[in-house]
Amino acid sequence: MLCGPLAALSPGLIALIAICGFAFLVLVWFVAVRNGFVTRRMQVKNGWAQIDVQLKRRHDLIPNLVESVKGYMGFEKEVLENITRARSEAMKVSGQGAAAQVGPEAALTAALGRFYAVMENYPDLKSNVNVGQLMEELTATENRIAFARQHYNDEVMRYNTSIQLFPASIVANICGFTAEAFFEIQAPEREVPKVSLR
Amino acid sequence: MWEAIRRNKRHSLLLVALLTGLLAAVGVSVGAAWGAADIGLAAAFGLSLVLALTTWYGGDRIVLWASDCREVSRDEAPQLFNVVEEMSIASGLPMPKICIIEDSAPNAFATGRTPKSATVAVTRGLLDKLSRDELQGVIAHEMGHIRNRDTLYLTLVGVLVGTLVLICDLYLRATWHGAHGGRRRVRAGPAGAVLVLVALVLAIVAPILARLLHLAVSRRREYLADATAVEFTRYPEGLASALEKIAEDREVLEVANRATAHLYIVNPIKPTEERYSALGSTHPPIRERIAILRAMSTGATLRDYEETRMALGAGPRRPLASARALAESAGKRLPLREAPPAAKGRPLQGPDPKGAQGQFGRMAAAMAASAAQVPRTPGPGEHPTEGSLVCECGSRIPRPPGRPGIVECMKCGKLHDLRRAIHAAPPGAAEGQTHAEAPGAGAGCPPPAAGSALEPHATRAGHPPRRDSSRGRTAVFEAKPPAAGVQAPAPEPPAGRVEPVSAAAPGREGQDRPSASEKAEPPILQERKMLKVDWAKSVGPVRGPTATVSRPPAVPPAGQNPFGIRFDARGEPIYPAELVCPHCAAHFPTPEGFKGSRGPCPSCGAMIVFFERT
Repeated sequence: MLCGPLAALSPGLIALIAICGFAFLVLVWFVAVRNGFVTRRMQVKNGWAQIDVQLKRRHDLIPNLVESVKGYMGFEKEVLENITRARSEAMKVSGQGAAAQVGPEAALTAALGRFYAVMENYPDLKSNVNVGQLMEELTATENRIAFARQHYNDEVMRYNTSIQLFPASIVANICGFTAEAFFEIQAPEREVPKVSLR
Repeated sequence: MWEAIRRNKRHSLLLVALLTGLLAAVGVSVGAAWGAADIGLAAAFGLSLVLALTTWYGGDRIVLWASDCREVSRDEAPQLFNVVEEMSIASGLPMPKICIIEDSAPNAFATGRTPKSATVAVTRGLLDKLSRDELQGVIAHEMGHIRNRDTLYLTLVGVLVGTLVLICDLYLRATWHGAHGGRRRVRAGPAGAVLVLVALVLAIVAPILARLLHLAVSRRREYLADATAVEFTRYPEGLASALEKIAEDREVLEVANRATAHLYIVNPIKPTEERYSALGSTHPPIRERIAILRAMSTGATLRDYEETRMALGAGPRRPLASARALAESAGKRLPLREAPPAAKGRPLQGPDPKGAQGQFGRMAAAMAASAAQVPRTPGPGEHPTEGSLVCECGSRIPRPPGRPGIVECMKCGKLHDLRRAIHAAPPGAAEGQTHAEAPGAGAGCPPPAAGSALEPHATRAGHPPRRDSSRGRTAVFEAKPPAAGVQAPAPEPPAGRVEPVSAAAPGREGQDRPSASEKAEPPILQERKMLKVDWAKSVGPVRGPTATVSRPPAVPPAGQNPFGIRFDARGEPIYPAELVCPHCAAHFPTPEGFKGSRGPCPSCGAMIVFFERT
């Protein structure tokens, strides 16, 4: 084995070269893992930005919807007022991050859910073209928020899992990568909407 | 997930190498049999290179052109766009281009080398026949194909297989013709004979082998795409019921052929067709796919899908992904979304109004379920309207499905006789209805969408066959009930049918009943006064604030006959000469020749149901 040019070197030097080579490989691995973490964390942040975009979109859609149905659904004033109120609450905390936004956004989701339930009693309104369009947009926005949340949580899970697996967790500890928080909207309160029979 | 893609890419290369080797063998042997092995090899490779490059750069366009589809913008199909956008968000893929194939058979496919250059195509039939959740399941499946790079892979494989088949075919033909006296420099002697024999065997076997390989690979990809779809939507029932509907549909997708069949979600070549090949299908059996999806209960990951599949014994015995990919996906426990409370066990009926579904719709429906303790007045149905009428006050009145006589404007109270009214054409595509008739709707009585009219069993509820009102048929209020046994006006049990589906709703036609009106005064009773009513012709404005009362229609209790109707041998009703409205007790004569089951009272306007057709 020790033939050719290697024969001229002392064993100590060979050991040194071996160690250096090994250290180099470790370094390469280290950098690769760290880059992986950075990429995944970027994806997490991207996922959060996506949720933010959809939440803002919902804020923009609501006034339009309320205006369109106000004329016909005057009896349901409290529902509409709830929505408007929840919306202004949510807009106050918009852009402040997951912790601050979860509560108001969940309240808005609940208010919209009640509105949707009450719409059942107005089939004429539902078959109105403009209202139908808006309802579709609203439903789509809610779905988009839900899927954006799902995607964000998926990314967070991937990232959190990756920084916890050994041996990559060593890199995470050294470089200071910490787990990210999930975005959970609590289930809307099971409040019975007042359904007025006419 | 990324592991699966890497593995996919590795397998692509492997299979490509295998097929290339096969191609080389064929090329060499054919060339050798013809006396020039090197030319044969070069020709084989040259041909496949040309084809591969063509496919690589133009493959998408070729496939899309062959399938005759048309790209659509957001305005033309907003709901489809929304559904695709939702899936794009859930998957993290960029938004693909969307095309629509104008065919009434429901099917869909995806194509594209990379997610950035991907296209998803759906047929018009799919849009018409599926609900929002089901559409979302199908789109999720297609985007799963895109993410797993199946489109790239299968197209490449298709090219190689095609080249192989082409060369073998040419060789066989040439040999056949050559045997009848062509000029061929065949090597004399036993060596030449062996070569020819080898070439012949290869030429016959190789295409079959290649095809089988392609089909097997294609089937595995379908399972994987199903699993990916569940991972995106977290709602396997959506895809399962979509597959069920597509499978039960009998229509034939005309634009599909063998070459593009493997790209579709369900094999467009049906067993009933002549061109169906029993040798092998590009798709796994639909029943198996549906069974696996419906049996998934533990979670939404690939591993859950695999476990379910293995438990059912469906599909290939080897796992679809490597052990490492499965382990990676098992690390995340993804809970499935809950189905809406009424959906379990509900038979597939007509399509749901599309805005109603989705996560949000389900949640809201659940809230309505807990709240709705009383039967609600069934309205004329949530079906999107084909056109609308513009009142003098400027508000637009939607046209309820069926054949209503009189409609009241919700704003000003003016009554419009829809049978004679001129309908305002809705402004182009701004309606946003993904309904097929949207662009042309509203102008008079438009012909129904191709998909809906042709089916005798009208799955598109709410589209009764259009009858020309100017012919003066008396049965104006007769709409063919879309589904037998639908209890139209019966109050629905609250817990059971909470979604705004109301597939039963289109069964009742009739007037638009605004449920809220300040003018709700009791109608003036005209005791014993005979009112001249002609339901065949225009009734004209009705006296008094009558049509604003919202009441549940009067349904005769089962087994009783308060109106005194008899039925003749053919099942047609024979009405007495005079009828009494159960709400306002007004007497009015029965129009001549009226054979319908319901009609409005000319005095109070409430809909009277005389009997229920079964």
